Amino acid sequence: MYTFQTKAEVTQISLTGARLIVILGALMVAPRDLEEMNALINECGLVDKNYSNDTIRIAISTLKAAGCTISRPCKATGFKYKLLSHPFALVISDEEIAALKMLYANMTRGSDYKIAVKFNELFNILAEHTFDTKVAAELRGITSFCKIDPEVYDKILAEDGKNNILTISYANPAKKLSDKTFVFGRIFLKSNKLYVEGYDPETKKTVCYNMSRIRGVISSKPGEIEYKPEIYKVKYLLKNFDHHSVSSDVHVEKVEHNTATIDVEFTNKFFAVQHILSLGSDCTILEPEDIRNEVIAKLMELRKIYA
Amino acid sequence: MLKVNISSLRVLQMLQLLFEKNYTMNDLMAALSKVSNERCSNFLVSKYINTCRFCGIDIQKIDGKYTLLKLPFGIDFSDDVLNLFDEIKEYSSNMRLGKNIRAYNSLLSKINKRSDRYYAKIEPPEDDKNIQAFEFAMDNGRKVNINFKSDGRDNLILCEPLELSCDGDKLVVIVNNNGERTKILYEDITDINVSDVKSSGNILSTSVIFKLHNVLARRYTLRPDEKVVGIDDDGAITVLNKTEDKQSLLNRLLKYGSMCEIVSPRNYKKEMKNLIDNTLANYGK
Repeated sequence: MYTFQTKAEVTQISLTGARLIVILGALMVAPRDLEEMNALINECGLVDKNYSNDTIRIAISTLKAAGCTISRPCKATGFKYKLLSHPFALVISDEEIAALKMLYANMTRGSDYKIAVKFNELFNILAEHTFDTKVAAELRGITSFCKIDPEVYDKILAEDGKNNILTISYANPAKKLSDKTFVFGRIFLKSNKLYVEGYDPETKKTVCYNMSRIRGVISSKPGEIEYKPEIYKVKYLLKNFDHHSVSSDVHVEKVEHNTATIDVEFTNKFFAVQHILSLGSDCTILEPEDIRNEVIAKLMELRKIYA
Repeated sequence: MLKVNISSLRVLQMLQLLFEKNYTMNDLMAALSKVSNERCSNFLVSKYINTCRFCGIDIQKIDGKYTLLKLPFGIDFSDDVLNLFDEIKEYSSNMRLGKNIRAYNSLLSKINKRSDRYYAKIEPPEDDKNIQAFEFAMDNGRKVNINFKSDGRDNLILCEPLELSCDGDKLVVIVNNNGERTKILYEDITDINVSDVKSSGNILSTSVIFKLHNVLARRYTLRPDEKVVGIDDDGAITVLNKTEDKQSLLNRLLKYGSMCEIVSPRNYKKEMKNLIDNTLANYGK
């Protein structure tokens, strides 16, 4: 943890100051008892002797005088001192949070889910290092992954690329639990939610589960069934092409007079229809016929609503 | 009364000062004297700096000022997050995101002081005169005149600047145009001028209310600044949205199909009807 210079390099230091920095650093990492703190000071080679417990207690009092909040050692903390807050914590401004939100929203749009997972890790670390509970909650809430059971989150992420057969306990929107078994396919991000997609060998259909509804991973076994998702190849024209942001999974066949011909593959028909509709009147789907008809049918239904 | 060690307390107090900003020796002596209520000499302050350095805290004199660069026991990021910093840098380097990038860089400065690694800041292209005018108007509560091209026509609007942001890989400005949150692509803007008209204080008068039915009502995740204002017996929910720009909101609601219906205002209902008609016209319907 420390990279002490040799005493010869520094002419004048405050040994009690150095001792205090060691104790502060140790408490920033984990709760400690008096013996552990003494051992750490010895390990650092700062002094050749053990300090008395009173000396360490004075150091703790000095940290408190400097603005640290340290809990008393008690049974609940394993009789260790726990650093609850300190004056060196990150203070994150509203503007800084807004910048992080803006970067997250734009960099994750149409991207691999992994970038959102990295952002989630960054936000959690920043939240840990600020003692402002409101700011910490705001940071943790940017990704919405806090709604996912942490154990489920780790287990599902660890499944990526393994092609195992998973059985999960899943709560449908009416909160009714049931077991689902499928060949793991991929994880993806949509509307700031993580989904896991797979292949149900019984129904021979692609299935898709919202990770925040997964209550537990019951089993994960290597399987011999290959994940073969249904692929919906969609071709559409996109007017005002230069006004649209194009995600990495989209193939632009050609652009003429600012109208692009685009090919994109979906593994879910519902998402394909939603994608086409979200592009509004700039988009005309060319193929496949069934999705084109579904888009038209949905628009006709909407026309009746707004008539 | 707690028994404390004065010398070590001063070391921490000095460290705390250096977390906040960089100091010349004279300024640091003065600041520490003020905090501690006793005179701190050059000799003492140098001793405290040496103590920190001895413990691996990197304090260097840069441009005549003592600058805290690294803390050996602070924030530690995984390789994935380090990668993310590079990706953010790559994404933002060509964007003129003004305040957003300055805010991100300011956060990185704070992180750098609390970490034993250095995370490189973004060096965006220099803000051009339009960005400067937009941000000046935001900071000084003034409206802006924006000239921009839309559907091949030149437009001029007097509006209130709200935000400089991006939409995917496009830079956009967000304005309050007669109470309506409006997004304009930066590449469509020819000119932004600060007007003499004071802004109204970011009040957006457009509140859009829409109803969600069936499974969408149960699955819908509220966007920031959205709230549920009603729940029907059949489970349908009524949502109030105040901040999304009109075109993005209409396109988003369109994708929900018949499970979503705009309740008010009337002009949004009319524009949704036009959007549906124009989209159907693509199919000869």
